[in-house]
This record gives sequence, structure tokens and C-alpha cells, in this order.
Amino acid sequence: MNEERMQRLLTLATSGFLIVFCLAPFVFMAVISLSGSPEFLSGQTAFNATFGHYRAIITTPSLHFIDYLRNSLAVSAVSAAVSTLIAALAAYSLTRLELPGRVLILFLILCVTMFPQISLIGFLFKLMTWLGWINTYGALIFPYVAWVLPLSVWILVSYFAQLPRELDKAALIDGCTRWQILRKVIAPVALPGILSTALLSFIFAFNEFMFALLFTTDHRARTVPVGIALFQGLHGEIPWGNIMAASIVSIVPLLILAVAFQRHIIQGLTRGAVKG
Amino acid sequence: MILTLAGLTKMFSSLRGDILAVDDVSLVIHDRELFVLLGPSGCGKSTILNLIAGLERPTTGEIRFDDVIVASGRRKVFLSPKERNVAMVFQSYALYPHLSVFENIAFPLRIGKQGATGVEETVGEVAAMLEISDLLRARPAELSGGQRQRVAIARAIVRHPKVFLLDEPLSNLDARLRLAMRGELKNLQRRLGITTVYVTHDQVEAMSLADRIAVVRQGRIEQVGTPDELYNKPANPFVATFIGSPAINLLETAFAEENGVFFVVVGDQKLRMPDEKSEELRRLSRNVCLLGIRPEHIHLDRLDRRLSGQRLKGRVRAVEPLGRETILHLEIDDSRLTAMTSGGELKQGDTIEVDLDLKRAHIFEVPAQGPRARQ
Amino acid sequence: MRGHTLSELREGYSFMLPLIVFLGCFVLLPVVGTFVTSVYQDVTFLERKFILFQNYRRLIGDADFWRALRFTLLFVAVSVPLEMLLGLSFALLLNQSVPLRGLLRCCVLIPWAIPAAISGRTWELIYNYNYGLANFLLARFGLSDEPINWLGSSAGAFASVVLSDAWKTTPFIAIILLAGLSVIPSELYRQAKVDGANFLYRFYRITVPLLKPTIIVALLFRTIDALRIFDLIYVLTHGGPGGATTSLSLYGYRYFLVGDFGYGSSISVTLFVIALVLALIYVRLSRWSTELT
Ligand SMILES: Nc1ncnc2c1ncn2[C@@H]1O[C@H](COP(=O)(O)OP(=O)(O)OP(=O)(O)O)[C@@H](O)[C@H]1O
Ligand SMILES: [Mg+2]
Repeated sequence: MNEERMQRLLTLATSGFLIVFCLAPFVFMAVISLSGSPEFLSGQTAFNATFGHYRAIITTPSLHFIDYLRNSLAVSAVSAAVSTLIAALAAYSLTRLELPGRVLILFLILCVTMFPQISLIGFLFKLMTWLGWINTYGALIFPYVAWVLPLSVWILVSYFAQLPRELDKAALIDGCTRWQILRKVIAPVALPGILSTALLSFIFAFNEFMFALLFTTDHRARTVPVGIALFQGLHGEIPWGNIMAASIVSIVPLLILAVAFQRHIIQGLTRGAVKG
Repeated sequence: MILTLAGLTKMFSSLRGDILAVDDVSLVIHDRELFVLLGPSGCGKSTILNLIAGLERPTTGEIRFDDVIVASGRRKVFLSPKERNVAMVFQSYALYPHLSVFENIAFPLRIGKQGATGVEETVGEVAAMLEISDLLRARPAELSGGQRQRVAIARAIVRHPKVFLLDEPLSNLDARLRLAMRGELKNLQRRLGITTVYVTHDQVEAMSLADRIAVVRQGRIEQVGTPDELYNKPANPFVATFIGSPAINLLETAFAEENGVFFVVVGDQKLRMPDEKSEELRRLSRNVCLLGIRPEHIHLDRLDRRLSGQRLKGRVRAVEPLGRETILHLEIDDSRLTAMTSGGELKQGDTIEVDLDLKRAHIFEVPAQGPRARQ
Repeated sequence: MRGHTLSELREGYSFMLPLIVFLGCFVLLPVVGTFVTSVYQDVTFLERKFILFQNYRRLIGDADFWRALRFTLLFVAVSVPLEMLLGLSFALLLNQSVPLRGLLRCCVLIPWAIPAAISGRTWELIYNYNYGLANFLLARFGLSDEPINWLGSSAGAFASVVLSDAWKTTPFIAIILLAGLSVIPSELYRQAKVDGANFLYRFYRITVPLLKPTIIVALLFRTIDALRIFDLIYVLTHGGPGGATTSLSLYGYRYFLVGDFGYGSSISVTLFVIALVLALIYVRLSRWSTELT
């Protein structure tokens, strides 16, 4: 019984640590976003609650926060949709059609996940400049799609491979073309998998930093992570309250997604990784 | 519709090497016939069915629907399943889990672009025929095994296919349901009059359903015939063993001819063969044969009175009462036999007199590598 | 091969075409381009000139490069084991049927979902010398008499980066390991319990060996990812103080930013090769470990 009690104690301690460890910075972010001054911890000023920072970032056009948020949402959503569609096509072909060269392609995709982002940006920067795409959505969407594709393909391959082959056969007998099989049978049946893939792609695209930093120059295409990273006050003083309020507002969509689709995300993540 | 397979071969290449799944199969399946492909697991039955359906491409050989060549290895003809208008029922049913029963049945029609009104009606008719009208709103996951089976069949016949292909459709059902569905399937097939190919590894199912059966083994056809023919005139020991339960007794025995009369040796005793078997024995190349006697053709003294006068002394090794009948494992000198009787008076260790109905015995050539090794 | 006809092949590959086009144009081509550029003198406003290995020769003599390399490797060596340990303990916890398990799982997902560039700003404030949370807590619990200059000293900056990175990525490891744990049949544990094996014994004899493949996968992913660390450092320390926390990615990025594509590319290629070598080592390791058991 001694061992059991120890184990329970350990469980409790780890649970507590986990909650504090994971939430503390987030809570701190929220507290500062609501406080008039970030300096109350030094003891020189008192904590006074205010929504002023939130009002400021939303109503001050020169901060461009709303632009950043809109850019991020648009770019991430389009990238997620396009990459999931492309990945679904590829995964269907990879799991069902037994084409020569499919092992090579799977291997290539695995390799691509290992590439450092820095080894792409030199060429991509020149390409985007040459295309005249710098500071447009295109400069972000195309690289993002390519960047999240390997993950999407891996996840979907593992989902599709699980579906019984007899479903395909039945659909073929019923007169479907390959495209119809994917659209009318495989995709609806693997909908949870497609949903987790799209969610993960969205979160990955939303998180991306280096491309957005280099390929955008102002509020017309700049995304939230870059916007917040470069957020400066007018007079050199860092506007902590505004930064934290902006952080909270921009991560709320992510957190809602993460919590609401917790199961899907965890499933997708583990499939993408464990399969690889 | 007449379905013709001519010299059909299918080779799979895999990491294990090349597998000849179907080896030079030629068959003619008659119009409106219920034809059964029977064979052990892995013998290539499903592959033959897939070839007929157009899900696989033959390596060589030809498939004809009436006079139309639907697949030919040599002539590079290959019609897709859609163009062949075949229907198929799978062992796992392969219902679309995201669609309601109605939509499952309507699926082939919708793909085939029928008018929406026609769909309602046709689905309703087929559902009524299979008595699943009240399930149309349900999802496949909510159905029992038997109900799923019916939905799968409904989906298959809704398009009035030219050929109806069934791949072990009953093997996922429990024993009682299987029996009931067997009867229904046969009725349905008669009513629709669609040429049907039915795959199973269960010989009882095959015997009870089939107009004709092809016994398949390692991709090759061993024998084609009506259930009666397969039971009474098996072409080889494999077919003899595969048909009938409990399995036929195969005894490797020496035989000799004396004054035109043939004798076989069973145990330590010599038995006279009936004259009508002489011709068969004379054709054998050596003086040994494989003597096949079905358990139901072994008669026992005290229980049966139809004795031929040639009795063997035997001992009961084991008794397996099945209720209506009893299986006996007998030992005659050093040979072992299985017999079937309707009584239950014998017990282990009893000594009895055995009479073999040699008129109904089957005679086979002894295969080179010995009879047991081949099974 | 199965007997595919030409039209089937065409249809099959057309499903893969978008994937190939995207990966080709936006990943493979750029990588090849980077390799090519690394042997050129390629600076904006200057003539492009083939110089073979001169960029690499310049790397060897570049003290800042060596410092970036040393920092990157040190960062991987410290942060990956730390995160693995933390992640393993979280995974073990989440694998038990503790109350509020769903809540715990949600908590774990929060750091993972927040972009590093955004959480980096919060960490920057937490490490603030005058009114940051870190120094406040140290003072409150009496752990340190003097406030620590987190971001202003090399050691402090290194520790800050490691801690912030652990916060962001430990959840990912925990989730991966959790998947590995959940497929270990619970009968094994029950059997061991019946046999009287204690907690530690069960951990070393059942959990560790069966989890090993998953651990290696997680290690591989994390190592490759830690090697290319960029966002967090860019936001939190800007590579400072005095270049002490400049990673290879950040160092290369600065050259791209000022238009020295040739030299930036040679730094990228170096990082690429290091990642490749480490990946190969892991693959070899996992093969050894499966051969040994
Ligand atoms: N796609 C394939 N690739 C490689 N080998 C295959 C393929 N499909 C079938 N085979 C092989 O062909 C042989 C025949 O398989 P098939 O499925 O036709 O057997 P079956 O008689 O239907 O068996 P069962 O009763 O178990 O369903 C088997 O040895 C099988 O392994
Ligand atoms: Mg089969």
C-alpha cells in the first residue's frame, strides 16, 4: 500500500506541476494584458485592471493589429485547405493505386520534413522578388502549402491505409471513377482524419515565422507572429500591455481550436510522428 | 447471360516472389445458373471473382460475357467494372458507413445518373423484396450482421446486373442465420434469374446452393460438376476429400486379379471387389490403389442388416455422438477408418464386424508422393 | 508490378501531380538552389561569380560562425534531453486514469498551439530585470538575493532560451510518447504486478524497452527541430547578448537579410548537412537497438 500511496502522491505532484508549467506564462500574458502598467510586480505601482489595451489594439488603425490578424487567418486557412486537398489526392494515390515509385515519394516526403527552413529562404526570396510577390498573400501561401504538405500527407496516408480495400472495390463495381471514389467514399469516411489534418495544417501555418518575416514588409501581408514580434512603441518604450492583449486576441482562435478538437489534434500529431 | 472464362491466368508479383493465383482456368457458366467456386483458403477463388468483375486484369486468357470479350490478356481488351455491369457482394459487406441504408442502395443508381424519381421507386422495390423497408433511414453501423447482409445484396441487385458475384457472403453470419440466408439467396437468384458466381470454402453451403460447382485448388480447377457428380464421381482424391463430411476414408491398398476377379487388401484381409469396378482397376498403372470409402457407406454389424457377407473384424477407437448420428473411429488391423451410424449403442473398445459397401467405393491412382502429403 | 495501363498510370500520377509540383517548386528546387548558390559569390548589387569553396573557407575563419555553431549544438545537447525527461514524465502522467485527464491534455496543448514568436514576447517580459515574473518569484521565495540579469548575461540568456523552448515543445514530446505508451498492453503491467514487481522495476523492464522506438522517433524529430531554432531566439534575445545566443539559422538569416546570398547559403548548407548526419545517426541507432533486442 506504501507504493500505491507514493504513486498517488507523485501523480498529484506531477499534475500540479504540469498545470502550472503549461499555464503560468499564458496566465501571466492575460494578467499583463489587463493591467494598466506591466510594472506592478516590482512593487512600485499597484495593479489596476483595464480593458484599455484591448480597446487600443482593436481601435488604433496605425497599430495594424487587425490587419495582421486578418492576414494570418486568411493565409493559414487557405494554406490548410489547399494542402489538405493536395495531400488527400496524393494519399489516395499512395495508399490505393500501387503505382511504381510510390515508396520513393514517401521517402522523399520524409526527407523534406528534415530540411531546415533556412535552407529554403535564399532561393525563395529571390523567387518571390522575381515574381513580384513580396508582401502579398501568394508569397506566404505557396511556401506554406509546400511546407505543411509532408505532414498532411503522412497523416492522411495513415488514415487512408486503415480503410478496408473492399470499400474501393464496392465503389468501383458501383461505377465510380477513381476521383468519385475519393470524393464520395474515401473522403467522407475518413472525415475525422481530414479534419485533424486541416486543423494541424492551420495551426502550423499560423505558427510559421521565418517566411513571413522575410517575405512581408508591412501590414498588407504581415502575419500576427511577425507583427507581434516587431511590435514597437512610438517612443522606444515597449508597449507591453498592447503586446499582451494582441497576443491573447490572436491565440484565442488557436486555443479554441486546440481545446475543441483536442482528440483530433492529438491523433493527427501522433500519426504524423509515429508513422514517420 | 453465358459467362466464359478461357485459359485465364493471373500472376501476382510481390516481395515474396511471383504467385500464380489463377492457373489456366477455363469455365463456361450457363445462363441463369448459380455456379459455386469451392476451395480452401488462399486457393484463388476471390481472384477469379475479381477477374470476372474487372477489379483485376488477367495476365493471360479471356473472359466473355455472351459473345462480348470483356477482358483479354492477348488482345489488350479490358472493360472496367462499370462497363461490365456486374454486381458484387463482399464478405465484409463493404457498406458505405457514412451513408444511410437508402443511400447505400441508391448509390449505384446515383453514380449511374438515373432520375431522382426512379431512384426512390427502385430502391423501395428492392428493399421490399429483401424485407428491409423499415431500415432505410438507419446507418450501417446500427444494423445487425444479417441486416447488413441484406443491404449489401440489395445494393448489388438494384441495378439489374448481368452477373451477380458473391464472395463468401455468409461467412460473417452465425450458423443459424447462415442457414436461413442460404435458402433466401437461392430463392432470390431463381426469382431474378441472374447468372451468379458464388465463392465459398464451405462444402455444405456449396452443395446446398449450387447448380454446378467448380472445385479450385492452388489456382487450378480440379473438377466441375453438379453437387451429385462431385459426391458420387469425384475426379481425384482432393475432390473426394473436400466434398462430404466427415471426410472420405482413403486407404492405400494393394489389389490383385485372380481369374478376372479383383481383390483388395484391407488390413490383413482380402475383399472381393464388385465386377463393375474391374474396368477401373484394370486401368491403373500399378498394383496399388487409393480406395475411397465414404463414412456413410461403411455398415456395422448389430446395427445394420444390409451386409454383403464380406465382413472385417474391427475395434472401436473412439465415439463421437452428434445427436441424430454418431461418428465412429474404427481400427481394422492397422488401418483406420471413420464410419457413420444412426445408433448410439457402441462404445469405445467394442469389437465389431464391419462391412464396406465396395460398390460405392471410389478408386484413385496412388499419387507419386503419397496420398496424405498432398492434402 | 501490377499490370497498369498507360491511362491508369496517367490517372494515378495525376493525383500526385500537385504534391510533386508544390514540393518541387517550393522545397526541392530551393534546396538545390541553396546548394548551388553556396559556391557562388552572390551579393546584391555585385556581379555573381563562381568561387567554388571560398564561402566555406570563409566560414572556417569566421569566429562568429563557430560561436553560432557551438551555441546551436550546445542548445540541442541541453534542451533535447531536458525536454525528453519532462515530456516522458508528462506522458506517464497523462497515460494514467487520473481525474481531469481531459483538462490536463488541453493544458498540454496550449503551449504547443501558441506561436513561438508570440510566446517569446511574453517570455521576454517574464525575464525582465526590473518587473519580470522570474525575478519576482525568486525574490518572493527567497531563492536569490539579487535579481538575475536573465537576458543580459550569456548564461542567463542561454538558460532563458532553454526554458522557454522547453515550455513550447515539451507538450509535443509528451503527446508522441503518450501514443507510444497507450499501445503497451495493460495486461503486461497487471501480470508484473501479480508477479510482485515494484514500480521502478515495471518502468525499467516494461515501459522503457517497449517505448524505445517511440522515444527514438521523438528524439529524432526534436533534435532536427532544435537544430533549426529561430523564432524564439529572434524574438527573445535577438541572438544576444553580444551574439552569445545566435543560432546557425539566425546567423544565416542575417546574411540573407543584407543580401549576401552566397555566404548565407553556405551557412544553410552546413546546417543542412549537420541535420542530415544526425538523422542518419538516429536511424542507425534505432536499427542497432532493434537488432540488439
Ligand atoms: N493483390 C495481391 N498481391 C499479391 N498476392 C495476392 C494478391 N491478391 C491475392 N494474392 C494471393 O493470391 C492467392 C489467392 O488469393 P485469393 O484471395 O484469391 O484466395 P481465396 O481463395 O479467395 O482465399 P480466401 O478463402 O482466404 O479468401 C493467395 O496466395 C494470395 O496471397
Ligand atoms: Mg477470398
